[in-house]
Amino acid sequence: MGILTLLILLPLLGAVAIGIGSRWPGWPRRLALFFSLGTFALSLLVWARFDSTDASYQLVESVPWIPSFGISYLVGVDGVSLLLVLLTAFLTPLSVLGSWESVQEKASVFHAVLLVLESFLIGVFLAVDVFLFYVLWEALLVPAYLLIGVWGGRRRVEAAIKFVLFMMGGSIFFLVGILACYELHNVQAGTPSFDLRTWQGLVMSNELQRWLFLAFFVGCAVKIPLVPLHAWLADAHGEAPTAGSVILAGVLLKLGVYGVLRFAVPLFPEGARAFAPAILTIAVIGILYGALVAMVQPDVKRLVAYSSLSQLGFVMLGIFSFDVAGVEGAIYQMVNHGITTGALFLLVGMIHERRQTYIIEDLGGLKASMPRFAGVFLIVILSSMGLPGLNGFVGEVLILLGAFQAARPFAVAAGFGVILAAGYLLWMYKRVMLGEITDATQAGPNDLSRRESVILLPIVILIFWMGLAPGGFLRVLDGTAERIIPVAPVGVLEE
Amino acid sequence: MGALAPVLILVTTAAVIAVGSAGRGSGTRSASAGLAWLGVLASTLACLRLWGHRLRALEWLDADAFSLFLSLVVLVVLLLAIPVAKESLARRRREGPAFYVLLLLSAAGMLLLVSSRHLAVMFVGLEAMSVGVYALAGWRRDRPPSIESSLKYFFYGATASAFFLYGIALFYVMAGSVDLARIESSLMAISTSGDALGPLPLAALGLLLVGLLYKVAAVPFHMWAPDVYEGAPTMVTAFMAVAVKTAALGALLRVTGTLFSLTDEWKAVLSILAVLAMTFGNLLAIVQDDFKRLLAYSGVAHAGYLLVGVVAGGVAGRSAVLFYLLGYSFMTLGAFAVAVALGKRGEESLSVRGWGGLGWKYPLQGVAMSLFMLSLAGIPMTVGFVGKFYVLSAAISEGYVALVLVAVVNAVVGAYYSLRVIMVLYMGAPVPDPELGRLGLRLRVPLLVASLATVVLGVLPSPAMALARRAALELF
Repeated sequence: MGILTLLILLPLLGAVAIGIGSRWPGWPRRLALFFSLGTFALSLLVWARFDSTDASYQLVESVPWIPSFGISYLVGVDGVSLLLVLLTAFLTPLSVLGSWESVQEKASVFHAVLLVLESFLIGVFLAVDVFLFYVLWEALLVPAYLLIGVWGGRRRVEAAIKFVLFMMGGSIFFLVGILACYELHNVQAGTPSFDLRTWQGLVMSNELQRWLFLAFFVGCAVKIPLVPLHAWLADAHGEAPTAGSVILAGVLLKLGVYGVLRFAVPLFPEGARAFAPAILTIAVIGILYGALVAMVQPDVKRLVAYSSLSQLGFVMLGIFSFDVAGVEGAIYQMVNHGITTGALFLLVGMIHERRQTYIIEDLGGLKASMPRFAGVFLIVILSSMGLPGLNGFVGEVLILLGAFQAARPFAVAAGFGVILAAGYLLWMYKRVMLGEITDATQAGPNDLSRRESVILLPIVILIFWMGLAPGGFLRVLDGTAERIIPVAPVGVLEE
Repeated sequence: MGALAPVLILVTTAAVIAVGSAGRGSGTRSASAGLAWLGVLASTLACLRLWGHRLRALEWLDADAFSLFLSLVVLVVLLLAIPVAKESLARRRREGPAFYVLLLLSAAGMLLLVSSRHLAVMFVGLEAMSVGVYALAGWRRDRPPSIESSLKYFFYGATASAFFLYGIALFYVMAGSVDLARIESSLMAISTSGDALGPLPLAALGLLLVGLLYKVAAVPFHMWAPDVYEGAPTMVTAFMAVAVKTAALGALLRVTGTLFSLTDEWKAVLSILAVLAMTFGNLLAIVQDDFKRLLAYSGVAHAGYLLVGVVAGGVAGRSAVLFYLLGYSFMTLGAFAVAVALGKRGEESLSVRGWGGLGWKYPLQGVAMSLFMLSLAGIPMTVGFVGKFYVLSAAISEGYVALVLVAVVNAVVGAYYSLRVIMVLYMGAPVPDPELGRLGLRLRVPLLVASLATVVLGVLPSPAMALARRAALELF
């Protein structure tokens, strides 16, 4: 068994261990932490073994699975999937720690479900066989559904159903696209295959490319989410428990982008070119709309959720600029968003543990009694805004650089998004952390506990590391980013 | 005579039970359930022995892989259903030898129906199957809904049989034979010789299809299903939903496989019916609270998916339908069995709303039900997903893109009501503990087998797919 399979199986093993250890209270979360840390260590090992000069899939493992359909258990890692696997493995132990005290009810099932979700997510990023990819991409809805629906907030059930139906609604387009490609390969090559690498060689008319691109893209757009397919976002993220929100925002939203990078653009370059102007427009609308809606949210958690809408718009802008810098920036920004938004949800969760509310109006003046918390919160917010020296800056600059080359009007419009982001984030910070304590009956809450410091420290380190020395991370993408771009950068609207 | 063995064993066992229990009324404890189970087991083993030999008996019974595959599905369903039915009936003090006699005779009819290409024998099978189920549906003579169910099913079923019989008569008039292969060859000969048959073959085939589609519960011949499913004893409903559907679809595959070569005008109609069945079944299932009605409409929707496979045709389409039937049997039978297991001694609890929070209190029932629901919804890693995938890939390679689009949109609608059941079990407002007590072996083992099959066929479908493919190849 190879290291990638081990990486997928280890969290599952953890879930089984939790099932066995569930009779001793306190053990499920310890086991969950142990196994998620183990998975993270293993993912670092994969990084160490990764050869960034090689653009193809590495550490490939292949076992025939359903031979009559040409389906195999085929996993491999390239630059994009490596970063996303690292992100997943990094965030899971943090979310286990983040729900250490808040999740007491049915704790063993909670942690098992969380680890199953981690396993499926890692599997999705490593799958090179499209069938395997789709199986995991759909199957992970079940643990996500349970996380939101069982351990979520007041309107959790509604949010959970909405989430799953939106996701499935998107996936069906994806499925039809997959079936069509499979059939096409069957006809053209004479053998059935779900190996993504062989699909790269499919010959298609421009019209067919456009249709298939659309099918794959819509399937992904729901997950990203792009306006107007974002209706599930605020509910799911707002109602999910802290750990759920962290994984949802940090990793699950990346699935959509990953699908675009992995399938929609490289398989159907002509389709991607044809729809690029429309998608850029939607992306920019998402950037501005998400920021404006975030600004007026009375609920901190929903504010963070809507900020994702805006940030993912940036990511799409970078990808569809079809420029190496833009695509690299988009992938980088995707990871940044995972870290900072994950951190924001963790921080908001910590506030909730102290004050039992997410409503901004009921908060205020927290800085007085929690100076260290306020400091970390500020750093994360500044990173989310893209302050130079922090990780968000690198991604945003690369994206805007790429977009300026290829799609100038869009880049200019997106620039306003940066300003708006500063607006809603700083305003929120002011209302929550600064000023007087609005609720006089509540004494000032305690500052960070040791456990919370342990959660936030690696995040802060990473924010600075990725901001000051992005080279190590960007190098991973060198080969991969170029492979994604359709032939030559397309000068949309720039004749 | 070897090819007849599975049927003969069933009939003999039924006769032994009937004679052995003569004079004893229903409600007494007896060994008939055990005996019936052993008979089914023997019949299963006989089927397994015949696999690969392609025997024919008496010119009208084929023990080819196609017949055996479907016979095995029916028999395995019985092996799982008999213990659950015994438990369910015993809880209500309604057990009686006649129940098993009827069950076995009905199953024998199914075996005939799927094993013959002789329309008259198929008709005998169809009737034997149906008569048994009519009586079983009314088994709870003390409950008016059960009697209503039985009568309704009888009237609808009798109409269906009439259609089927009329279709046979028309074919006999045209071809002078009721053997499907001979009908095909002589009608071919007539049409190549230039004599016009007019719309007669079309009409005859249409009548056969109507007769079978009633049993499959496809729109618009599904009207009976919700009421009949609701009123009949739960495990009889399960038997109807699973085994009857399997047998009827087997016959449908055989009939369309041969006669579509003569006239495929009905293909377009069948694809419209598939769309209607998927859409209506799923939409109406959403608003049901009674679990049996929910499964009835879900069954209509699944009939739609199966028809997609029938329309796609070819070896791929047929083997997809066979595989789907196998998977559908396990997940639907399992769901009914959990419903039995969620009922208290003496009464059934079939209102989905009444299951609030039970998943936490009764983990085995909760997990099993969730699994079957996920499979019915077609979530990956369950057989429901692989089955849908198989059918859709067959349809798309035959170019039925619109049909595939309708099917996938329906998958989302179908997911809603399946997820709702899980939602109630784990997130619903908790109901007072019904104090179900321990699960007996008679419930536990079938549940475990059905759950395992749902997962194993979903994760490692290759061997079963190979069998289904072989069965599809040996049709005719």
